[in-house]
Amino acid sequence: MSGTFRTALLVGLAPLVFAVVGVVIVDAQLRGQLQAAAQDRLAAELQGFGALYDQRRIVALREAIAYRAAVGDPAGSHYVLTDRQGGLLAGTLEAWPDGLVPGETEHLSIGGVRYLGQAETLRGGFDLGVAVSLERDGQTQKTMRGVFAAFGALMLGGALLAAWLMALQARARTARLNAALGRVGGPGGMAQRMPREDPPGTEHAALARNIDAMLDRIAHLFDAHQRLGNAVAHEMRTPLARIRARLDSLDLEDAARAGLDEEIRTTIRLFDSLLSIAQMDVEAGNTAGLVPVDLSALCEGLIELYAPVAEDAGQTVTGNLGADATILGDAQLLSQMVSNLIENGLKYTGPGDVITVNVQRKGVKVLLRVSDTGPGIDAALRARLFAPFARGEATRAKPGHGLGLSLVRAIALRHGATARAPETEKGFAIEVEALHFSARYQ
Amino acid sequence: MASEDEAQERILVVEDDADMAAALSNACAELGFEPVLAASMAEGIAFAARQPFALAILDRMLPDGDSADTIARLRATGSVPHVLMVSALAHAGHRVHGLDRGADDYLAKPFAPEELRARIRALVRRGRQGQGDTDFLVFDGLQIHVKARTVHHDADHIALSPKEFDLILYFARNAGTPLSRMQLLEHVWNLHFDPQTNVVDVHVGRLRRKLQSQTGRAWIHTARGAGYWFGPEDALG
Repeated sequence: MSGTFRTALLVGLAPLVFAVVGVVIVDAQLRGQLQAAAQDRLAAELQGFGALYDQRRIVALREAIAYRAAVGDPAGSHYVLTDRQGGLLAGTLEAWPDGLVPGETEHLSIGGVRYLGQAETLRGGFDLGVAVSLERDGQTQKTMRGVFAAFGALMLGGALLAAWLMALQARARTARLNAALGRVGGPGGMAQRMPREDPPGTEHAALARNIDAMLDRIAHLFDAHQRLGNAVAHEMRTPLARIRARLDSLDLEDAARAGLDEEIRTTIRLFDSLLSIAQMDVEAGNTAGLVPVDLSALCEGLIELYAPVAEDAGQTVTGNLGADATILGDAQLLSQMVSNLIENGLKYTGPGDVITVNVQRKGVKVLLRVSDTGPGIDAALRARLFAPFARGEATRAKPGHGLGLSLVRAIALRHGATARAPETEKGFAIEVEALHFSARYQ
Repeated sequence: MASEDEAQERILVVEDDADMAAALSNACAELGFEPVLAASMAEGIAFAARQPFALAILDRMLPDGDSADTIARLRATGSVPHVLMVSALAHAGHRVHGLDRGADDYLAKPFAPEELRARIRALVRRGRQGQGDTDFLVFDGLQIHVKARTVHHDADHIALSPKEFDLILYFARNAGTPLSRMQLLEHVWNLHFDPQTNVVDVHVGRLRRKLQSQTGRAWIHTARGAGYWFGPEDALG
């Protein structure tokens, strides 16, 4: 049951509960009123007969009751008159009804019908009993309850229907908003804006407007960040190019020139990495320009490239490359990603250590895992491993800028893949999980 | 129209930055070519319409736009057989875009002068020799069979891994020309980024030692500051 449905149902049912309470009170009132009316009727009858007896004695009373018995009472009332010995003098009944005691008002059942009866002993010792039918009062009450129940059922049905319709509408609106927000995280999502389906001035229109304003602001900051990053990286290349060109015309020793060249090369690599990360962020999840790439074959080539380098340092680069590991990708970027991971392994392990590149298909995913048997990393670094310029205390002495894994993550994101550093018993590992090529077209 | 021989001596340099234009022109001059400088693509195309060149070196971002978009017009003059694009746009995507639009090679700024010279040499050489359909390359007793993918020295077979063969073949096709590490990485391994480790040196070193131990002489030489060149000792071009 959705939250909107629950709220709408509550709003619909609250008046119904009040209505039911009202009906119960009205019903009790009505029952009291009807009973009072029956009692008044009884009192009036007894008073009338009493007066007749006082004025014209028993014979007239007996005749009056006999007449009533012969003609019949339209309201179905019963009358009974007995002598001092209890012998029946006149009446609509064969005998004095059970339970009727002179001086008392009693509920009676005569011939299966409910009556309200009252008896009185006249001054001559005659007992006079009158019973008025409650049948019609019961009918009135029953009809009233039926009408109230029918209205109650209609209200309940109406509340349920209204709640359902409101929930349906709210859910559809929320779903559209969610879908639009979901697309913000997708390729080119920064250009996405909320659907405008409500008249301006309503709270939903204000919500959509506020989300859009927020997205505009984020997009602007994002764009400014990108442009600054690109501008810095590009603009730095031209002066560096001049420095390099002038370096050539200087009379420098080879070693000094090589050292300066290497510094420039390192600086360029830093800019390239920053530029690539910025570029990947823009293109994250966008499949345009990607082609099927066999990740196992790509890794095999890179293992072959790095194996001699590792061997010279007493390390080993090996692979466990499964079949059917094709993903949609950019071979150059994927090569750079795997190359970064292997070079990381080579850099942070020592002689005797093994760097293993593992590629396996797991259902709709292809899992790349580059692990090593080195000293691993501490927990504090693990948390910010993929952040730019993150470097461990123990590795500060090693060359590099701490951009390698940022670039790995950026390239993974560019391919709609996720990069993570799983806990390992020994050494260090990075896993990248990408969607298998076939899963893109299902 | 100037003769073909004259064309072989001229390189069209299209670059709007004065310092860079001077550096590019110097590199051409040092290699014995006559640089012809243009500051925009329109000017470059006008020059190419008047005379043939051995090579055009184009900056990517020019006052009249992205030169990658007008390579086809430059080519249409029929005077420019090869194009080397030089650019501060160095992302892998930019490189691929430049090559897709018809550049033969793409060099990211800033570059070492040796790297530039190596690229110019390789492209001009390609123009002079045509792309080798030759099945058989011979250097002083060292024979390379391209289709059979085998290498022999006199009668002895030299066992090479597939990658080592690709490496020696690329070296042999550019014999006498210094080749940079980036050129080797791009052409032999098809990798267009600069790795942090000296992977190329390790592979070249291994091939060099293997050839030397089996033939008794050096075939691959270190070119100072530039990379490596292949051939008999006296063959550096």
